Amino acid sequence: MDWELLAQQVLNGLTIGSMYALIALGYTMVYGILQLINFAHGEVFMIGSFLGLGTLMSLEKWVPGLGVVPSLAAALIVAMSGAALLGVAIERIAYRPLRHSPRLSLLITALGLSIILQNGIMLLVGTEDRTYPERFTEALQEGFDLGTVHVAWQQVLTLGVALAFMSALTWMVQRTRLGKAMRATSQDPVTAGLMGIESNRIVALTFAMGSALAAVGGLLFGLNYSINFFIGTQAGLKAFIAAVLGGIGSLPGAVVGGLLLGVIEALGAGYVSGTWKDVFAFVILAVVLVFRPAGLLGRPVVEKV
Amino acid sequence: MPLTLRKPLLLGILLVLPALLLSLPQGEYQLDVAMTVLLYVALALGLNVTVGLAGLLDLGYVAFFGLGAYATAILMHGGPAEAAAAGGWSYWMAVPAAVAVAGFAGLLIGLPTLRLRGDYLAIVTLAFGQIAKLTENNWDALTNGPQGMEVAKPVLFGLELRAGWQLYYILLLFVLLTWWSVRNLNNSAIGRAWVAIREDEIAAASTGVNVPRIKLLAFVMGASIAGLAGSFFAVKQGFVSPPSFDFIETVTILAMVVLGGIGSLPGVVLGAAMLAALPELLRSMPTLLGLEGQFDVTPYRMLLYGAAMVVVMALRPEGLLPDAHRRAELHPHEDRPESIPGREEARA
Amino acid sequence: MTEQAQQARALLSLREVTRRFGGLVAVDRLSFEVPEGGVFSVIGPNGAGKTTAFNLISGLVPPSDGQLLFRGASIVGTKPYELARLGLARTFQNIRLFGAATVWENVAVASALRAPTGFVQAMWRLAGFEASRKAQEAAALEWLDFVGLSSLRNELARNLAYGQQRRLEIARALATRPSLLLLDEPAAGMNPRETEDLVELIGRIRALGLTVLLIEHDMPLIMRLSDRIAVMNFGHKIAEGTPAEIQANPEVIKAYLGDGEEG
Repeated sequence: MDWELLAQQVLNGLTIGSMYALIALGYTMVYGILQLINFAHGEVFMIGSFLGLGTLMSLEKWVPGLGVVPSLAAALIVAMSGAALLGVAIERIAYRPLRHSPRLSLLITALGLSIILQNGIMLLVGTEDRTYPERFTEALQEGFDLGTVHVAWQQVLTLGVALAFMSALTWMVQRTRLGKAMRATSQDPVTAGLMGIESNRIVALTFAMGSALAAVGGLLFGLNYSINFFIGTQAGLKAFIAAVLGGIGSLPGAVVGGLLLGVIEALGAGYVSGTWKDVFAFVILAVVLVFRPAGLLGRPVVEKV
Repeated sequence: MPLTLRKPLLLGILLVLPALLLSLPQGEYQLDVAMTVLLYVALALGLNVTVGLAGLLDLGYVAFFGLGAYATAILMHGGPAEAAAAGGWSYWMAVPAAVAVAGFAGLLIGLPTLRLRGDYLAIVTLAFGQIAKLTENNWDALTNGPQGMEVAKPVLFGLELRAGWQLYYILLLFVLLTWWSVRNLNNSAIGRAWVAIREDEIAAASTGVNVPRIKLLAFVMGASIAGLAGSFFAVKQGFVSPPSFDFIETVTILAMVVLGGIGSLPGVVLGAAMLAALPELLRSMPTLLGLEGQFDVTPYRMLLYGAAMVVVMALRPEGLLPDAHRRAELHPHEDRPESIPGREEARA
Repeated sequence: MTEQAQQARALLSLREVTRRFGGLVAVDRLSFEVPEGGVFSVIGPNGAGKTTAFNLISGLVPPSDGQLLFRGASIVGTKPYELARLGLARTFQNIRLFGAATVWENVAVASALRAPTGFVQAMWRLAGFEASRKAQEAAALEWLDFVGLSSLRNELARNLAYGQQRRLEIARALATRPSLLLLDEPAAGMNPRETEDLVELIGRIRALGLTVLLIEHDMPLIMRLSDRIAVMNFGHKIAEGTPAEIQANPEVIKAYLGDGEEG
């Protein structure tokens, strides 16, 4: 067995997997609180990626001498706040008015919304692939060799940033008052409301946080790959599969599911076939749904009667 | 117009339509548009069973359409020349096989997912649609990949049916069969069980509805109808290739169902007719405005469909022709007039 | 009487049934036997675990532990629709009708259980379709007549008044031809006249030979209707007996007064 190839593929898998994990967290957070799969979430990721691109390009033009790190920090802030606003707007305009409608209505609304966002962006930016300014991607392509495995700064940055945000989220949900309010609302919105928790605010906040995390994923994606208006669909699907694999509704599940899916895909592409790479994720989804629908870290849900 | 006359009249129009259209200057083109509309009517009727009646959001619907088309193309052994040489199946044998292939695929997808929440089905079917397209593109030996496959025309009593009007009647037969089957199911215990599940799954189960089985029937029925439509699409085009079975088509058909009225048969027919005719109108618009050749309407069309879904769900979830007011009434004792006190009681 | 003889007579038996939700024990080693015929009631303060007990019996929630027997055979893990076929039907505390369907269709969904229509048969109107359709419709009308709603048969279920919706739910449950009917707080939200109608209706249901298992808060109603009563508190059964015995039981009085619930 070729250990170097194995190590390289695992590293590549962890990199892409950490992006899946960031998006999956948004799915799982919204699901935990509203039992709704937010179809438009993949588009939020895509828009976050474009916001990052827009910021970097504007900085190149207007502040040519700005260093790599401050530029990326600015792009991160713009992408995260833009996506958070978008997420809150989506919840406010499309989901909140329908909270007491049949589930099918919500699903159709969510789908309609993602179609609007995707095609709206396509009209704005066109259909061709875009890349982040070379200054950033080239600097990050260099790296160091760990034995015979090449580690690019891109990968270090991606993994580092993803892990930092995931730890911050976990800390927030576990340790702060706000996090307690979120957990209470997801368990029982009515009782949480009686305890003085404003559930509408918590829901809006959940959308804001989930969307901001997706934007982080979008920015990291843009630093690693070229982007277009269509990336949200694939990434959204993969991230959803990651969330289901880990156990939808579970935050650690989303992280484990994302990383695991990334690694499985990378190994599949490296050892089996690159053409059929996307099929592996779907096969995993099918297997999980048949044998363990609650996912690896999830608990079976009993519907309230 | 009396309700009883409406149906025979509509049927009459549909029967003489080719003759009417072919007398027009651009008759062949008009007939082709008519066939596109009818094909979408069939597809929308099928998706309406799954989404509208049983409340299951199937986002891989067009993959079943593609399966039907590819099954037909493969069984008939491609183009006319090869078909004769290789001894491909006749179209009339390929049709039931295509329906069975699509239905069986529906069974395979539905079995593991239908016992889970509705959201999962939406995602799993979305993924299935992607896999299907990936397979069509990459399994060269079977599908000839992105180049696509030629398909022979149907042959009836040694006569090759290639004229538009001949194909039209095959399609009309399929659409009428679909409509009749769906209407019958809708007005039967099966249709009531579908609605029961859509309205309240737990109450339906406690009322003795075999929920997994009834859901599966709806899902397989929808897939089979898509397969039937696909088998016609293959011979009408004379060619199948992956781009015809894009996710955009599922969105289009879903928009037809939503706009017309989820669960309502006349609504779905109306929605399909409206949205299928729309691209033809949009296509002629740039020409009229003198913008020909520099204007792609697809993104606007998609925006429109997305907006239609959001707006209809928010403002008029029952669509243009709602189902609820049209449900079959039961009059067991025709001599007993509809009891007025009862109606008043209901409003009290 | 030997235990075996009692088993043979019991229509429904719960033996040490427990249900935990996370750390909460909603139903704790609950045992009782519902004999065939008559009205058996389960009472208790709010949160005593009555509705969970119902959900356990009707297969909506699996027990964490213990045995559930219907006519002597275990029904643990039996699906709700299979239970309906076995002869167990229920209504819901928060009414669950098929709102967008008409009144008669609501009941016809249930009557199809005993006069089923095949899929292909329905799709192409094959032989036997008409017979099953007529049987379903006739049975639906019969049960609507029984609860006094046949004049409203073509209304949408969601347009009925509250008391009518409760009666429609009962008609729907009856149309599955159960031997055991579970009624979950059927008088909740009813005015005194509607409650009187309900008492009369339950009397007629019992006269049909059905066994009724009733959860209710309305104490006068319980005392009038029940042959036997089990009292629950905090997931346990604290007493069981005839209405007279229950009314005299100090434990029961304590449970109710202690919770500040009117009795």
